[in-house]
Amino acid sequence: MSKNKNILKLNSVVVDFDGFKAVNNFNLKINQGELRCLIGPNGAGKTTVMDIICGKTKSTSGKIIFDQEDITNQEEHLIARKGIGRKFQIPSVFKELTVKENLYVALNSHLGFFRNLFKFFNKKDQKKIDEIAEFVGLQNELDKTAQFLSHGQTQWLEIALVVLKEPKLILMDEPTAGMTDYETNQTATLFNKLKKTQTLIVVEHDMGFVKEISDVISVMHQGKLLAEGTASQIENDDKVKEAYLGKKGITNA
Amino acid sequence: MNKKLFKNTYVLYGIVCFLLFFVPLILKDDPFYINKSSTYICLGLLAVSLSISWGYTGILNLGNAVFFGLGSYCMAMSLKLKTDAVHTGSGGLPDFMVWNNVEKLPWFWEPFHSLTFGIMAGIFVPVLLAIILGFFIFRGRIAGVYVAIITLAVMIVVYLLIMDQQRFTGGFNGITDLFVLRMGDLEFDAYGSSSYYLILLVMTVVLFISLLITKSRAGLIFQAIRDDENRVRFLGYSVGTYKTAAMCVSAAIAGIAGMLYTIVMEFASPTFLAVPLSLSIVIWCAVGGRQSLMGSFLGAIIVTAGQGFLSESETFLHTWTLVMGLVFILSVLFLPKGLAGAFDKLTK
Repeated sequence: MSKNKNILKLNSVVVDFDGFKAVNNFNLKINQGELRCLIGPNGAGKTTVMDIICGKTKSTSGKIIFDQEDITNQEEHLIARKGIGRKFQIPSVFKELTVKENLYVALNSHLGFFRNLFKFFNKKDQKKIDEIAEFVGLQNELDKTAQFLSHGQTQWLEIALVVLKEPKLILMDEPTAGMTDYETNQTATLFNKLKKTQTLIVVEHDMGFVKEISDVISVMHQGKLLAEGTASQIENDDKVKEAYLGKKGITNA
Repeated sequence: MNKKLFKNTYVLYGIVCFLLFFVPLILKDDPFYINKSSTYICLGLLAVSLSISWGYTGILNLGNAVFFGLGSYCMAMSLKLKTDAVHTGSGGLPDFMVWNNVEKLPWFWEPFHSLTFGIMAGIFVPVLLAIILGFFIFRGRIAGVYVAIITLAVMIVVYLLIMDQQRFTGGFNGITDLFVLRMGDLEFDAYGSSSYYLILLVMTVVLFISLLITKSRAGLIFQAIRDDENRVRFLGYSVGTYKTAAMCVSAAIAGIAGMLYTIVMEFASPTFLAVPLSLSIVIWCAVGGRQSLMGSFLGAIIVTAGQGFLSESETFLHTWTLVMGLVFILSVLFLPKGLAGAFDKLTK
């Protein structure tokens, strides 16, 4: 029962940017423990969907239910506290802090100012940080300042920051953007490990990567849900072909 | 010398505080220079205060001197009410109030009869202002240059209020002719080493508490906010609360610095919360290294002592402001992390 419980439900969500409907009557249901890929052509509204789930953008109408709770248009940090983690398209880490300090900030513990005032690093924290660093393959970079990491490592560090918070749902926006083939492969391995314990929504352009990690794929087009299914179903869907390649299909392109 | 020892910040800070202990001995108790040294330490502490908000949390507070000035006035009000009866009106009414035909001590002056209250007010009035400012600025997600403009404007408003309410604040003249601070049997003469050691002691305590804050998890979160505010927010932290907290810590330190400054200057003046001083703090931090408490502290001392030295020497009598400007430009161009950054590179 709990395995198939809907952890996230979007009910006819609309985002209206001064007349332009970036997301138009969008519905989505995510089951507990699922890895859902969200794909679509440029401007389909994928990132906007992520933004409204985590509170970065406010929706014009519609409802977002997370873990049986209405979280529509709540403040970002409150949504984050309920258990939604977000990884951004442009890697966002704390550039002037070391990898270890980055992870220490993200450590799942008290969030209030006074609880963190005069709180110092201890052995228990070290153990958790070592674990996560090894999980994302940064165990040898702990003392490096984050701005000197490679692009791939920066992405992994941000993934580590998000995972450390032990969220119930993770939103990943183009985690492999700008990565080398080798790094993309590493990331796919990482996601297949993550999948075992986490519920994830992944926005991605790289179809190879999507096929590697996904169970169910949702396709978006012009702010609406176009199709939903496994990788092979999606690839043979006429509507999807049309959205990506234009009306006349690949032969007349 | 052991390099590892030099990397331990606590040891380094301890060494500097220890060395400052010997200044009066080196100056052979020369009253003028001891007084100067005391003022430099107060201004150094003021730079530490900006280092926490600007260097660590990324809040460029151009109105930082308002906290300093408020602290200074609180101390001055307490000391004024203790002045000998010769200089005051009936019932211990401060002299400037007599000149302004005020007949009764205003209600908000009353509690300053107690020195303890004055000292508490010198810390908590600035903190209260920081809370109010933080609430409006950071809840509204105002960031970057707008914060600088708002804080600067607020300081000017307070400055104008003090100038305008001459009857209660002494206006342009400030609050002068103060009683010498006494605690028990100790008398803190502004030109004696007793004041110097009092200021050094307070500065050491404040500096180490600040160091502990910046080294704690809260301090790391401050720096994380400086680097990427949104990332911190989406990790579940209330960024506004943390920024307000940083500003409160900064305000408390500036308030303490202001109180000490009143003790050595023997007056409080509206220039303590005027634009020139407030902008100077930014320069001190930039030269010394805003991301280092000690860097900012020494930056303030080096720049103010340099100003004092140059403006008194005959060669630079007319050009000393140019020289200071040049120092600032050169340090921004070649030492983006200030003297502290250069020190870090050398000891690496």
